[in-house]
Amino acid sequence: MAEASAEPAPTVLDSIKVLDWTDQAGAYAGRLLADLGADVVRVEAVTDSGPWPEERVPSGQGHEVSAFERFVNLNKRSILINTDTPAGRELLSLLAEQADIVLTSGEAPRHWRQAGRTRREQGAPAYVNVSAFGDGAGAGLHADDLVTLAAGGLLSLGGYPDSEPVAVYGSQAYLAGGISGAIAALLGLLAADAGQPGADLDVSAQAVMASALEDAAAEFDLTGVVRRRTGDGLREAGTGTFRCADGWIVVVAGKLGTAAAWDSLVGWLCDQDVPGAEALKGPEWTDLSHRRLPASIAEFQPLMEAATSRMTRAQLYEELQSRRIAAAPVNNIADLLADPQLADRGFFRTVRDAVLDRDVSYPGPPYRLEDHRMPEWTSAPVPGGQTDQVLRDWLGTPDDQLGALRADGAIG
Amino acid sequence: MSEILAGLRVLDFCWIGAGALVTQTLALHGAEVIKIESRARPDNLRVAPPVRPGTSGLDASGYFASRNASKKSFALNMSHPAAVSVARRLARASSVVTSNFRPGVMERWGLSYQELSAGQPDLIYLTMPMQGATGPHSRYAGFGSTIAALSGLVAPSGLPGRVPVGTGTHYPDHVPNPGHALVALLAALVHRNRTGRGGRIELSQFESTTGLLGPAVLRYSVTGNQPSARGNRVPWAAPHGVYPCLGDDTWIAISAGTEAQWAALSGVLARSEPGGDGEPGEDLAADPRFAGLDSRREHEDALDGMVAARTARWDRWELMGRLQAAGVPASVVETTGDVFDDPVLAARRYWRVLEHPVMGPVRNASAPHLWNGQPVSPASPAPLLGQHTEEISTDLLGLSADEYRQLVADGVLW
Repeated sequence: MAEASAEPAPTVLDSIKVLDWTDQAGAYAGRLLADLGADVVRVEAVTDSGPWPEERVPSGQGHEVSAFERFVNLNKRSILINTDTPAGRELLSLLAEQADIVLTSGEAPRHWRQAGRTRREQGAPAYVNVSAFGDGAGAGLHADDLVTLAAGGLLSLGGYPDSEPVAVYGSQAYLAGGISGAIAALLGLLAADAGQPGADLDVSAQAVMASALEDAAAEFDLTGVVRRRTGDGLREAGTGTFRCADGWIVVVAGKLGTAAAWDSLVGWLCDQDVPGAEALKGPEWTDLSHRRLPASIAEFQPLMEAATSRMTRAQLYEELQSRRIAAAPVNNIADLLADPQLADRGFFRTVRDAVLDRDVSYPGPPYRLEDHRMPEWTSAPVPGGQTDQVLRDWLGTPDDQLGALRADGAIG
Repeated sequence: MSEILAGLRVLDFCWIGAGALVTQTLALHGAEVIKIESRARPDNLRVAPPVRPGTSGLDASGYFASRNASKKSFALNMSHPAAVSVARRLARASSVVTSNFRPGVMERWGLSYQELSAGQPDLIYLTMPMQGATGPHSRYAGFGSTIAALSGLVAPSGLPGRVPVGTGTHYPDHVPNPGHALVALLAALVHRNRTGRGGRIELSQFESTTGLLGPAVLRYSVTGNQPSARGNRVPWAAPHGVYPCLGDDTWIAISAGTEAQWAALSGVLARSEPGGDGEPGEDLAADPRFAGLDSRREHEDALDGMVAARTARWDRWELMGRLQAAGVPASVVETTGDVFDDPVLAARRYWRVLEHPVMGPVRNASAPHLWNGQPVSPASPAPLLGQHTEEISTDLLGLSADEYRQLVADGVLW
């Protein structure tokens, strides 16, 4: 609760300075810190050398820009520095000395090494690098999102038994690496608060993925069984993806569900007058190991789809949830924007984007901190859009020096 | 490096998936995490497979062990009327209280944020209801896989024309939801260090996962285009896919995002003998259909078929090594067994073997970051149910031996 006073309450990360010299593999880390009120300054020097590998949207100026780039750079400021010049590199070091957190990914660490400085000498309490394979034994390896998913094992669980493994949509390895980068950065700050010297945090997105293998890593460890992708096949009766009149619905009334959920599902099937559903009331069906038998799955699936295929996703969602069965429609983006729960909570936001020169929609923040002030959202920056302002704010650079730096080609 | 959060006590009501991973990370970094559970209503994961052959019971689940390392277990039967006062005393001694129940459960016990923060303004209170504490669907049931479907992540994940498959896991429980919750919780700790103020954090698991669909939401708002299932193909790189190697169900992921990477890939695959330096065979890059990204995308079926025909002659690890040496992003599609032998993870000492009293040696994951070059690994395996009840009752709550025994006999500490 904000106290009554002339000054607005501080934001969660009020006055925390973050120097963000990342590419797509780490940029979401800075976005998360910016959402919480940190002053996140993006260094545009490395990543503008090539396009961000994501789907494009047309900009107001006729060219296309990356939707991913606009998403991960929301609420940041941007400074354009030519790191190929000694004056530019010096400027970068001065900024790093002012920062509480330095975030890097991609080519940035190499530039830093070429400048002859180790990370710890940058002076920031927390230096965080995000990469696919970490900055040690795997530092020389090349990766993108797909390759990272493969290296961490998650890709082996996606797809169908009769085809190659299939990756999850939406650059999840990049985003996951970014989340872990933000976590590492905040742990570094807390260590500094506790009086520890600066922390060098080397985040491996491969390791993030290897921690996301559900029970499959433990299954191999304890039993030696390698779990394979199951795709469209059910792992057990009661749990899976089922065809409905206008798409698909996911239902979980199995291993993680309760006995009540399974009973409720069978009750619903019987109420739908599905021929043969009464057989599922047999006592053997209450046993998970019975529901996992291939014969059981083969008996269950057509009974389930006989009922689900008659109804729409929205009908099934409401109907099954009213019976306390965990069910959810397989939504597309338009469905999300129309979802009554998200609408009721005012989840989606509109931001006037400075590059696209139009209003665009964003999902709201992933959490609510009701007792803290959250900053107003601002557009993802035009590259280099705040160069002078940042140098004034962080370094107190006077106007005549800004002109000299620009004349020397050190800043854009 | 496990002492960063030393002195931070966390009263942890989280169970099953996402919440347990939040508090495990806190425990890895030195926080004292007191997990509240009971024999009356064990964490569902305690009764979930996998278990080592020959072991059984509430302390044998590998699923549970994989996300509760380094925590303490306090057996408290919350359905007993006397339990709430014990829980409140534990909360009073804690800096952070976490839960991921449906809305109303903590409130019913008198453990709402309002009640616990009265007189304790620096309390940080994390709650992770599936769809948030308010709204028409706030009481809906769900799991990671249903949240993934709701959030829009599943629909575009799969092969065109087939059932969408997502990750094949309860992904929201493992990455976005514990991850985002940790960001909020750690930021709140930073804030508290500076202001002395705590607060309530609410993470709707649906909203948190939908957040990762941000680029697609943004694009849809500009173009009206939905993402569609496209297998492993992407508009910005070709080849970009998963290709077979020698052996049963063995694969390599390859991505050629630049012309230089395409030329290098083609050069490696042109070797007539995998692993050898014999006469070069047909160079795919010489095929005019594959000149430039647009043309490769236009002939992607033929391209992928020809790449797959060549990768199928290679050992997967050898091909990965050759491609990486040539500058091509590539990795073996590691299985859930391969990750334990992965040389890069091994060099980071990512897996740590801990001796569990019931399960025997168990390989536990460390944090995904190295701290000044050192792994941040769990110090102790997942606790037995109630393993620390007596210790916490006497050392923290100051109960006498008689008081403790009475509460056990009454079925409160159970």
